Amino acid sequence: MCAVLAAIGQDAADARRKRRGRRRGHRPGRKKDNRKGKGACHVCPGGCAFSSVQAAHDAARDGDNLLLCEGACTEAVTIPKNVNFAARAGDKVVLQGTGSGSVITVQPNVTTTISGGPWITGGTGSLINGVVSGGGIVNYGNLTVTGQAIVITNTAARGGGIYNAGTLTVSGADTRVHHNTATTDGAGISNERGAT
Amino acid sequence: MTVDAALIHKNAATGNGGGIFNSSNDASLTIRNNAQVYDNTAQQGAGIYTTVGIDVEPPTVSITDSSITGNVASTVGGSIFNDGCPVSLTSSTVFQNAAAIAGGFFNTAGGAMTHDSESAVVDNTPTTCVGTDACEE
Repeated sequence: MCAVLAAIGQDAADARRKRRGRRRGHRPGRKKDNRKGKGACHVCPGGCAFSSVQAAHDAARDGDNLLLCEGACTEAVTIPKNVNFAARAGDKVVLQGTGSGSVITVQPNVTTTISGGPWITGGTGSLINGVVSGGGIVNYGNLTVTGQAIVITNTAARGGGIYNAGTLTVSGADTRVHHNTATTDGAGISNERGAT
Repeated sequence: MTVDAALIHKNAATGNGGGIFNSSNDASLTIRNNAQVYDNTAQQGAGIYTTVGIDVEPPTVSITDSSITGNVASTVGGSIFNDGCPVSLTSSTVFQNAAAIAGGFFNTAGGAMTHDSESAVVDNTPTTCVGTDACEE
């Protein structure tokens, strides 16, 4: 579930200001928000169609693009469909681990893009072949992390930030994988494509 | 896997591969287009640790127009620890990395390191490479 950023120490007034005027959300990829200069928010703490990234994904169809708006979503998201995720420009979007498991898991045969500057943080990894792996992200599919996305302060035994067993692209001058830790190997990224 | 213009920095591994750990099963690694791997820490291969698996083709590592800087390994291979893989540097810079042994580049038997004239492995601590003549001392 998503909460206003004040819940994780951000400025409450700013969060309220950002939230003000939000309308009910819509089905992903179907309708447009009427606010000038703003995209249709599919996921936000309140006033959107969804207050959980997973719920929005589950309601989406292959090829849909989900827009995430200001807020902190504490959840473990599993991606079995070809759905893309973007944080709205100018919004601070935090996908935060639950304290157990990876923040995002991309399943096999899935193509997805995470963009627009969301923070992926606080993940602790998933047990893969007896090793806790991929604190922030576990990728078995075809994943692109781009557009100022930040994978930060996740931890695992291997692949503190990202554990890749699929096809991974990390692109863009302001896209960062940093301040992650691993108790064994691959603090930023562990790339083991084809690993079983 | 590809790192294109992105930044991998200030990650910390207790074992190998502070920035990136690359291993086995044809897990090729491409770093390009002003990507930067910097200020990571590990026991071995603070920037990148790449290793060949068992009974598989070794993964290739290609670094183009990018930099590996400021990484610190507590034992071996400040920038890159290469365990048996083909690694190429093209128009790239490896500098100001540090380790107890081979601040720049550590290349085990079976590994191969190529670098073009536009690449530089300089100002690492210690300045020496092991298993390759890539270091400019």
